[in-house]
Amino acid sequence: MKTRLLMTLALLLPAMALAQEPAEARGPAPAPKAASKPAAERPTGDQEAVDGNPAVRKAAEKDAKPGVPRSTNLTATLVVKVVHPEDVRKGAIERARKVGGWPVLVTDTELHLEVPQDALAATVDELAAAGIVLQKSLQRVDLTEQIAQLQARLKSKREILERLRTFFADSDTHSTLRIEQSMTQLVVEIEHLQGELNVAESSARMAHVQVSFQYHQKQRITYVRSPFEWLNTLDIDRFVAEY
Amino acid sequence: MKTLAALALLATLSACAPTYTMTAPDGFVRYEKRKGLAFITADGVQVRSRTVKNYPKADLAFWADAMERHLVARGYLLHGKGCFKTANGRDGCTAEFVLPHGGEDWVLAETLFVHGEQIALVEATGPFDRYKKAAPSIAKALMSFEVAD
Repeated sequence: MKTRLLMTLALLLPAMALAQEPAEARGPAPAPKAASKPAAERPTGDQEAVDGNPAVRKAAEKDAKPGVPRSTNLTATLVVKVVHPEDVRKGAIERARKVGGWPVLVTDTELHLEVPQDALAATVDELAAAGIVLQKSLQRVDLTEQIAQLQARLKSKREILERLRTFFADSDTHSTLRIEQSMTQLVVEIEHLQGELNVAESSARMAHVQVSFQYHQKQRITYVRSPFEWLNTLDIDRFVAEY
Repeated sequence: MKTLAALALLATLSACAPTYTMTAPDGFVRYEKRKGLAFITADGVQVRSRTVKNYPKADLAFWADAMERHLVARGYLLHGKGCFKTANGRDGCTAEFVLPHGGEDWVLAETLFVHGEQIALVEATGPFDRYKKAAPSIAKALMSFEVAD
């Protein structure tokens, strides 16, 4: 009996190891479909989807594979110049709370909000209407594969845990100890995976809105020589110095 | 002879530097003794005028386009532009740009009036929030801009 139990455990343990092995270690993973470029360089073809254009949204839904509900993480980034940032910030936080969202970061020049994905377009529109939009972009990260993998690994570990439980009835002390040890390890792994899954599912439910009231891109200002001489004299530093 | 030469030089200089007139925007004071127009608000929004050569000779639309392209290529962010006619029927075009300056976002507004061989530039600048408060009064004052040829 003891030998049979040990043999079963020997068969189960590699399966557990496989279940906890990261996906990338098992072979070449497909290239990520999003976030391949920094946000500033990424084409913003989804812009209209943020703006709430129903035609664009429908087209995007049509492109999706039928029967596979996609889980996506959305991050909208805006640079809005407003005369009174504190009023806009306060209003945006209040509106986010009303729709079930919350502020993540609040500073003099930055505001990060988590809002339900359904409320993203309205939140972005309201912020844009408060001032002059200098930049606007949307990043969409598909979490479907990540969530599916986490769910599969979780399911597999739970099944192994259930099978280990059945061995308690006819095992001796030594085997019981080994089973307990394996089960403890499995429970820790299941909790960890469940946590990861919760975070991923939450990311797929909520959208992240990052608003900056400051145009930070100082590195964008470069010296470009114009063939028209007087255009080269247009410069804010020169203006201020000569005034 | 010397007097004649001096008068001729004076006449040439006067011809090179046209005189511009414009009512002071609300909330601005004028630097009376400066050449050209120069106005400032209590919180530091500045307006001034200067003259540049219309060379190669082109019209207002050409220069407005060239200016926008040049400043956008430099990294200035265009956030508003428009052309208008002054009260005296002179055509002008304004473009407003946002850019980082000294840790703050500033606006640089350039208004062009083409008159013959020269271009009048009315430039305004200030930190974004302060400039935006002064912008309507600057736009109103620009309607009174005139070249005293």
